[in-house]
Amino acid sequence: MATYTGQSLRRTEDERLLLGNGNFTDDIVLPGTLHAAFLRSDRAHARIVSIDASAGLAIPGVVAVMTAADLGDVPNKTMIVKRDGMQEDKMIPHPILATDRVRYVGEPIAIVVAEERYLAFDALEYIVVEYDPLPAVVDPRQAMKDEVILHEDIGTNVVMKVLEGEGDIEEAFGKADHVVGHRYDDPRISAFPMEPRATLASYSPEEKRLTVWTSSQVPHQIKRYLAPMLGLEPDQVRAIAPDVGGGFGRKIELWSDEVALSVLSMKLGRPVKWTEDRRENLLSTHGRAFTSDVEAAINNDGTILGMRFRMIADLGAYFYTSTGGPLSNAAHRVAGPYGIPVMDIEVLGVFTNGPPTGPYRGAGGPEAALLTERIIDVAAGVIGMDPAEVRRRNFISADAFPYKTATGYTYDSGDYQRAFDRALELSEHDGWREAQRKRGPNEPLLGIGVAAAVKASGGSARTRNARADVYVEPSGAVKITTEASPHGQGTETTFAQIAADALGVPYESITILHSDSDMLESGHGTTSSRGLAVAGSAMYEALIQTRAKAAAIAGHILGCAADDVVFEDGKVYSASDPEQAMAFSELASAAYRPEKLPEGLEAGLDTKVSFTLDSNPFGFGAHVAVVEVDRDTGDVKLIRYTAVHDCGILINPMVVEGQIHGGLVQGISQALYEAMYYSPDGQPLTASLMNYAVPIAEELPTLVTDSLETPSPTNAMGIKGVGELPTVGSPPAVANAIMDALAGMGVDNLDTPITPERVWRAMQAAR
Amino acid sequence: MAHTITLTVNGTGYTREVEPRLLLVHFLREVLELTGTHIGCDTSQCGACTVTMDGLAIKSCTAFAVQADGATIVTIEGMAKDGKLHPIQEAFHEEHGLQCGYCTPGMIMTLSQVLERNPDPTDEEIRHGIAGNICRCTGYENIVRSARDAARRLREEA
Ligand code: FES
Ligand code: FES
Repeated sequence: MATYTGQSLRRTEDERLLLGNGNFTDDIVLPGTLHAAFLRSDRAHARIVSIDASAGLAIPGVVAVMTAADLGDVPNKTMIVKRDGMQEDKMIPHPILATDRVRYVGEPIAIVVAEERYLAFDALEYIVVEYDPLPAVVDPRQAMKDEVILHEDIGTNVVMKVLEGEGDIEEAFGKADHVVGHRYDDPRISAFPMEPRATLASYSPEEKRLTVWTSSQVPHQIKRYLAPMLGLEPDQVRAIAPDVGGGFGRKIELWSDEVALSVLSMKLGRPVKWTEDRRENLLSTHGRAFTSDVEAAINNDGTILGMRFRMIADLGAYFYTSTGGPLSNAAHRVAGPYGIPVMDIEVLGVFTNGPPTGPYRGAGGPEAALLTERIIDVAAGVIGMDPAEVRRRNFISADAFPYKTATGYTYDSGDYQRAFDRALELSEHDGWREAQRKRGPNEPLLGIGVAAAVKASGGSARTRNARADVYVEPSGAVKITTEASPHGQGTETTFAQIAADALGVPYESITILHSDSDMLESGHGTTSSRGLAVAGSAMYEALIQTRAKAAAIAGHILGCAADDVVFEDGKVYSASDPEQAMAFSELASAAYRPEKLPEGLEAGLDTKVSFTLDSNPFGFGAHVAVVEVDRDTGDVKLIRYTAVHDCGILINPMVVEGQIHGGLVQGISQALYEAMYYSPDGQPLTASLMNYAVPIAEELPTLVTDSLETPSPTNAMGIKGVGELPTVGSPPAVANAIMDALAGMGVDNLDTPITPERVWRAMQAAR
Repeated sequence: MAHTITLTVNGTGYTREVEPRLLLVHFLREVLELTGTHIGCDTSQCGACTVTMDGLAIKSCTAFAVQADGATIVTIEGMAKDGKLHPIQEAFHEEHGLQCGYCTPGMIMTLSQVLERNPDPTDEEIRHGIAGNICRCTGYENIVRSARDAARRLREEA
């Protein structure tokens, strides 16, 4: 009986945040806390000749300056997880602190701790680093030439290679009516969580225990990786992610600063806090950073016969834990929602003199969709067919699931055509086409762009496992511990909705606990759209087991069969004789009294599970963007945006819609505004909000959204993840709309972000 | 070097010694321990630090504590009254105007001024009014809805 599931319940999380009582890492004050600041490289590539910190140390109130030389037994490297396409001998980890060489601007060299925040900053000014400059390389295509090599011992910058696909691409190209091709650049962009990262490390010499509060999506992983590095047993480390102000995939690493702060706290026996500033955040890591060639073979009837992808991913100067992840993801994800029989994909990963890259909302999905969705529009242009129609003709049909793509994925379920048609209808697509035909020569150019995207939820086999603990207290109150580690997703609300329905108890009696490694022994946090799909499914499994045991106890007490027991409205009763009833709280209390239990049943109502989702659910999104382009200035105005998503059964439609809004805008912004630019010698040009463009409300239209619900057969609740899905399709939808507007202007291609300057220059060049 | 400042924050008077270079936002967060006011940038653009000073919304990362000498400041902690959420806070709850909640205090403080000046704004006026506040989670859609709903609540209250 679903009382709560499917309802747009308002969020439990809200009140503390609305009152200003949120508990973000920088808000936490421990007695005796020292404040840390990092000295970072201002060179893109240089040898470090010497570091002289003495003047900094001499400032009263400055407690310590630590460089790599002071790390002692702590290995000077962070943790890497090997991904498809990575080679053991080329997995160079990010150092904790630079030793004799720096390889990107922003790389940490030394860390200062002081009694006060401002004193730590003061000291940075007095630390003198002498550099011996080296040539730098920031363009991955240039880096592939190996003229400047970042890590001499491996002899090359090309350190990853992923191959994927099926069928004979040459044959497909040979028999097609047309083959079209393009190169698309997908620059570095910042995840830009409004709360930058922050860490507070506190080692207790008495308890021999380290507690780390950190603005992270993966506290359990922080604990797991940190402990061995520091020479501690896992149970000597506790990692807590308190309130976290956004993550978007770029808070899933074990960061070098988390290690450095822990080392210092252990050395000094005092809490040490560091809060990243925006410049540091913009220089520490990026997402996307692909440059790719794509070709598509298409027949005049719109059938796509095959596609070839040659992608190059800029990894930056080192590997962080998940840096290698987006490459194989992108290789799988180029298939999109289409039944393209032949695919040929190569993705190379290249070191450059930039900060390490990694998954950013979509994690290879948006990188892939940008190519597939843009080249389909080019192909549509060549055969003179509406791009929406070309997509229709190639969608995997609703009766073809489970469907195995030529890129090695098995899609679980979907009705792409129906969702896509709904988006066309909702957006008044045909009406806009009509309006476009009627545009006069003195009006702005009008463009309509569509895109369709698929996104897996749950991540790899490793991250499809999750733990959950359902504890029904003798009072009937229910405490659930999940390994999800939310930072805006509303997990405390949506998980309680599921639990309340599963046990037939009031929503208010459920408490969702999370983000503390002392609560659950392990976990993978909130990444890869796995929060609900994996951690939620694990919780659901624990709830079902809890209910089964509770039913056995209730049946024993009420004198009916266990499968006759109904849980509803805080009551437990026999379906065949509803008079036989008891309060859920009575049942909970009985569960802890051995004399009340049927033979062979242990007292207690506490279920811990380790659950594995066998395969990924795949959600779908259809997008329609309408833009106006000023003929004189090249200014692009997004005037209408419509998206229809199918992420399976909705637990809380309001929360899902919120996720969709945010995801859409991050993708829209990628198409229109965002790029992290570096000069050819590796100096950052966009390291603050002065020149890194994150959109403001005024630049965006009202978003029109709708959802369809195709249940996923992969899990008991029929759910699919939604966190990343909207970000996959929105960049190409906007790009396609702009190219559509420019179709008559002789503009061949524009790379994202498609800024007014780029449009203007292209229009000038085409004149 | 320390200066003595006296000011009122959320109705309470404080006198404190501060370094002249101490930013107001750090004074609020670290001296008064009012951590609801956040920091999201170093260039005065994100609005996470917005408070009102003598009735005007200001970015507290861009003022020194000494400039607030004698001022009356309201932060997010001062918005709810007698255990009841302020109508703007209620509207954000009702319309799902927050996800991670990091930008929210600044948004609410800015909107308190926007809605005071314009009790019945259009969506365009709302979007313009919060042009100095960045949210990365909501795509602004539900913030605009919240602001609209807040305006209605405030008008009904008036
Ligand atoms: S912190 Fe004040 S505007 Fe960003
Ligand atoms: S709710 Fe997260 S930044 Fe606005």
